[in-house]
Amino acid sequence: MKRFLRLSILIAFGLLAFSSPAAVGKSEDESKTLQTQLNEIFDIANEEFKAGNYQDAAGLYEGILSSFKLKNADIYYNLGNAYFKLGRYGKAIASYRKALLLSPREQDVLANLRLVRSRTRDKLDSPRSTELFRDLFFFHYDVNRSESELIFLIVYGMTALFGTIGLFWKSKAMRWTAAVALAVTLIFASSTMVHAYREAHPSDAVVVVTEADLHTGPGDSYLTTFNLHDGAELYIHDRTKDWYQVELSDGRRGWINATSIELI
Amino acid sequence: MKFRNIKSVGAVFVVFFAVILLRSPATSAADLSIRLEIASSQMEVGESIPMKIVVEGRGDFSEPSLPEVPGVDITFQGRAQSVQIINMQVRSSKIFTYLVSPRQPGEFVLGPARLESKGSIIESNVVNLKVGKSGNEQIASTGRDIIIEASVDNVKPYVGQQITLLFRFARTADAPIRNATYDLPDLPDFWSEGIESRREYSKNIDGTDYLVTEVAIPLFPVNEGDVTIGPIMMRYDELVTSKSQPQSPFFRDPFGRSMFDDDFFKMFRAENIVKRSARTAPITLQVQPLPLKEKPEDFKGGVGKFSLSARLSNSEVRVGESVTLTLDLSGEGNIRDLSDPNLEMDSLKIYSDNPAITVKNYHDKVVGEKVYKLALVPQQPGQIEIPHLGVPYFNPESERYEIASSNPIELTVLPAEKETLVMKKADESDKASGPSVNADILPIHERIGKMKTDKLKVWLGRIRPLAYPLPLLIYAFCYVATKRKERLKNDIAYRRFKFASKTAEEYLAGAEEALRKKDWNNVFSKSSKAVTEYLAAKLNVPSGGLTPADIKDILIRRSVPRELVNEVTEFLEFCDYGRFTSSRKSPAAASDCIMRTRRLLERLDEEEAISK
Repeated sequence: MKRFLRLSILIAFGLLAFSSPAAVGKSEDESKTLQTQLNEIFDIANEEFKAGNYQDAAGLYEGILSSFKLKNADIYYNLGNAYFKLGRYGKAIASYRKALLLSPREQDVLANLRLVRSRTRDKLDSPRSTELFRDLFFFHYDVNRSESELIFLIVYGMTALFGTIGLFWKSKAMRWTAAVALAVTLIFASSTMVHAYREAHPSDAVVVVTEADLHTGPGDSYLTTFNLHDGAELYIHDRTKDWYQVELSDGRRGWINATSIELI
Repeated sequence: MKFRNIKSVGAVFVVFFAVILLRSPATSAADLSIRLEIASSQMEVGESIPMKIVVEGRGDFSEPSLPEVPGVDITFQGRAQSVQIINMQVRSSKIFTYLVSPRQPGEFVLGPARLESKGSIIESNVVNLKVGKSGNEQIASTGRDIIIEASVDNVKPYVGQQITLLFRFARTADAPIRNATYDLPDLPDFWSEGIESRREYSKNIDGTDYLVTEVAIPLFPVNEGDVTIGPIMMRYDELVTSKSQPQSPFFRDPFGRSMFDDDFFKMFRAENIVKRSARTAPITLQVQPLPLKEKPEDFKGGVGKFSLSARLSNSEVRVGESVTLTLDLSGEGNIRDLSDPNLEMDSLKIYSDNPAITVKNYHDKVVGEKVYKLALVPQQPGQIEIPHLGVPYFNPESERYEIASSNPIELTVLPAEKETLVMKKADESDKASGPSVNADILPIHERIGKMKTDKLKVWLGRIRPLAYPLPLLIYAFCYVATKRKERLKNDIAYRRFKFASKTAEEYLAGAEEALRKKDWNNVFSKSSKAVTEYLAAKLNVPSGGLTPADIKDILIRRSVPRELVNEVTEFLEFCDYGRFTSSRKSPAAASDCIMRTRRLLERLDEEEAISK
């Protein structure tokens, strides 16, 4: 018993040591320097935007995202604004939606996204089932991956706590509490995994060219079935090297060149 | 005796077959005969009938040859050999099979067939063949076992009106037919969706039951005037069994049937596959042009019967938002030829896409559906009526042009949620896409980190290695602890096993206490008890009344090494000796006893047969 306790404590301390900032690979000083540089470039980009130099501002925002290998909702939001001002609605929608993946309840992003969607040329009704699905699984759609993981860890800890108490204090109420906590844990575990999979395998896309042809097969030689315009939102169904089979919210499908869309 | 009988019977058989074989005289050319046989002396162009060259007799001879007959194709199909025993005589024959297919009508003479044997030429008879023109009837009967037929459901269709070409292939249940296929002729005057239907049924024709395969091919005439559907060619394999024809009544049963027609003997007969073909008569149609009278201006094509329905995805919509108008054009006929419904309204911005077309064969009729989806974006609030939409088509039943029309639909357009979202007029839509919408969007964010998602991500990255395993480890630790506690409480044997060393230590402590008090009896007694209780607890046996002999037996049964068993027994006897004799009652002997107890307990603890 004592041996087991000693071993557990050793593992716990080992894991704590492994999770320290030093183990992550960046020192505090390095992080501060990077943060300062990032803020400086972000400020310059914002100044360009305010001066009406939207193209330059968009270039700087894009530069921050690629150079710092960063995913930040504020930068995506500002980038979306820059593209909106340039009239590139597809790029704007892609940026806003990337911002929403990181900060799904941000009202500024939601408002601007609604606006830019209303400006797009292709009006596609989303199926009612999709809306119902989003309402039903609000706890998944209204939180981002980090928040979902945090909630999971909290309820997971609580489940372990209630389960442990239940081992010593055997009551029906405690068993039920532990069972409910376990159910919530499983729900948020699934939600977190879906978020992680979604991040690793993007399945949504936006048309970012003025007009894109949708073909019956993966190639220009296939028949064009219909056209889509800048800002049309799609669901990726299948992919080859240079072509994506996409599906619209009304169920229509076609193959589109990879250069015509941006994945979200 | 029996053996002698068997020998004599065997000798009779040997003599019998020797006589048969020896009766065959030396072969000469004169012994060979050649005969030409044809299945029918009358046929029509397009039909094919088998022809045989039968060579009877034995000996070497060349392949028979046939003279060429202009206008008749003679194709070699295969050969077969048969041996018959008739009236104690062996007759062998070779049969060469050909397929005769005349290309033109007339009277032809086939043959004579020739073969060469030992330097001389042998000729067969000739057969006369009368070939008639291909029949005007649509039924082409190739024999009583098979009937093929082609027909159309309408010989005077309009241009673009669907007709059904029916091809029927009827065969009797026992017709030896395999691998039947058919080839459609070229149909340059027709357009086909390539969707044919096939069904099979039984039918009694002239008192005979036939299994009929019917293929229905929908066609649309594209040219007016007299057009012809050429013959449908059918190819199949016929299994031809060489029939036994024993002449002797010896081989017939009381009912006159040959015993060689039994299924058993059929196994030994050769079955030849003869490739045959047959074709239907051509069909001529008189295709009528569509009437010019009352022809609608927007008529582009479409002959049949069609209907149009319209529905909106929502009856209410805000200005600037879109609603989908679905137009469903469906009916019987070639739906691809129909013109598209045209909707133009000033109050709506309309985005149309290519329609989705589905065509299928429904009870030999081509039915289709063309679905148009139009995105409508209202430009101003109010009540909008989407008028009825019409698509003209020609109805061949009523022989008039008709309109497939939809009902008008009401659409309520509500004001836009925000004034900034109001769409511009359709003709100004392209201008609206320029970067001239400064006031519409919310301003940019001045600082990174307002949404604080990055910090959470970093923090999660740090706690993740600990936060994931720790709750599980704590729970697992507590679970194991409680289970152990419960077992110690409920399982006496387990508890005794686990506390055996502790019990022995207590007895040893008592022995040491007795040593200090110079209570020699107790030293030996407690030491003996320490070992006995330890073993009883470890081996889960009652300790009361356990003698050294009992312990020895138990230890031997548990496969404890003999040396250790002896040591335990000697120790217990040593203790008993110490307790009951005065010579051992000394401090040195008592100390030695305690030391021996410790050593023995340590050895017992190390022994797997006891401690595990």
